[in-house]
Amino acid sequence: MSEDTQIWEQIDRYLSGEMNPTERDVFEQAIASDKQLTEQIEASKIASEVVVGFEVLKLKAQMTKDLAKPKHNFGKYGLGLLVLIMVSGVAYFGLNSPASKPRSASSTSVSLGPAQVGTLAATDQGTSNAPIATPANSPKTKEGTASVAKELANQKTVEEPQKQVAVVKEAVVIQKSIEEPAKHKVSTEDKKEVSSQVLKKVDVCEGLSIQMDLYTSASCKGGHTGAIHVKMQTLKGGQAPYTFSIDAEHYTDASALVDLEAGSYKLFVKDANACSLQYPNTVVVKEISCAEPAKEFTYNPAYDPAWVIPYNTHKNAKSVKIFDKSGREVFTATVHNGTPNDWNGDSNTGLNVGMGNHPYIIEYTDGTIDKGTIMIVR
Amino acid sequence: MTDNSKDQEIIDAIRTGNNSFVLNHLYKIALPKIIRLVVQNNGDEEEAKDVFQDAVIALFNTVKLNKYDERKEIDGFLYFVARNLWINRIKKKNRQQDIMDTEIKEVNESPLVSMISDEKQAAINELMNKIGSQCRELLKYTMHDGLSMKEVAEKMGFAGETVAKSTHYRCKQKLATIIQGNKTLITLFKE
Repeated sequence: MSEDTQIWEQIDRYLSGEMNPTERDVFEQAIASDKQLTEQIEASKIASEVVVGFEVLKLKAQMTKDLAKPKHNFGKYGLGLLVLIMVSGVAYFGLNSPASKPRSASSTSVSLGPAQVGTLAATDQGTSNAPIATPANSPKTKEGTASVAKELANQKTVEEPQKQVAVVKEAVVIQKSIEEPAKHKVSTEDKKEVSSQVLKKVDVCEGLSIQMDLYTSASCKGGHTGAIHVKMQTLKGGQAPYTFSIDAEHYTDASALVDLEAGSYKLFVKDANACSLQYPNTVVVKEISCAEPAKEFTYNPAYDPAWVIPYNTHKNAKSVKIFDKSGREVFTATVHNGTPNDWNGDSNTGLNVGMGNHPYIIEYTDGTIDKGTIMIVR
Repeated sequence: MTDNSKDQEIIDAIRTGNNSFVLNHLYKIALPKIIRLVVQNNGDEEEAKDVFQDAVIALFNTVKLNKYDERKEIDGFLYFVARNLWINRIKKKNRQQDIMDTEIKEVNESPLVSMISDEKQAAINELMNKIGSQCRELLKYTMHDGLSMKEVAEKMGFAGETVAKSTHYRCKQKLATIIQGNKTLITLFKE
């Protein structure tokens, strides 16, 4: 073996702990005085990561194939709607003026999300309670879905009352505000009555229900940084485009109501026919403390390659400094766009920082700072 | 609640390359929990599967690089990694919401273990393309599969261990030298 490649073998033996103590001492002395050797060791470590990473990443293709479930979205939402049409559509849609197109009884359609999954599991496997396709049962699940759809259509009348309970969390239903809340839990029989009422009225908004999923972003304490977001792709019922409001006066066509302070909000949605509905639940925008992120951290470099520096993401970090017990800076970095986002436990001079508590300071462009400690354990 | 022997079996299977065994087990045990985590925190199932995949990659990577702490439950490891990944993604999407901290067991340690970011992935592919197919195959045997030089010699049709060994170090040198010459790349991996 050539002189040249020998060094790589030595590095390997050093890194894998195969050297005896004497050899290691000599080698470590060499490291201390030879900058190139330090770099070679670094490169050797990275080379291992590269080779291993290259192979490991091939698993992604495998998993993507295993977990693929092409008709998933259709299953969850579309199927619900389809069954809805099968069940109540004939009785309902035909009786209304074409312009209004009320997606009636959307509480029914919503209930099918979880109900379908539940029933599916019961018929198909009996045990699985989550909609996961393992490679073995994936195709089977698809077949199952179709038959379950029919089955559900038949069972619905009977089973609906219990299922309504599970619904509310999964997706949310908006009933026309003038309707009584009890309409939430209509059974199929009730619905027939409703539809006959609709016949008599020519109001396009009558009987209209819109369903959608929401999520909220918390607001910083004392600030107006919260938001209510509508998942636009989950909107069903009524005529697009929709507009949203929290005061029933000022409507916006954006999918998010922003700059909100923490608190409870009413949410209104209006469709293209100007049918305005109120969201049945109060929407709560939570409060989070943005000024003071968690302050004490523990980090074990032997276990984790890096500690994620806890920047306040609402502000622009400018620099980060880490000190040792005696207050000397061991690590300083200028921060650009959140980079570096972590610290590997090495000082600026490339040495391992000792165990114990290390205060850190993050400075932001607005002049504020965050302080905390990172405790190194090895 | 830990099934240590099962965990050990999984770790061994990762080391020996019995990937489908590992994956099938993780689909059953870890995936549902991660789906629940993500779905309950403003994500959908597809996003959950994405996060799950990245967590599994991190697990394999960590084990293969001998950095895995075997006292840790695999399940817990994946959950931690997935949770952190998901928090980061939510932050990126600027949907900051409280992630529920309920199910967390050992909160003290950051689970960001040997993650492979998109940037790293690109760098890895580029590097592996530069070293040629023979080195690529050989380094897979030696550094990923952990085969002995003798086994490598057989697989690659070399005359003997010595040839395998010298070829291995030549390949390693080739790769390491390219890495050494690229400061950006070093920073990327040191992070």
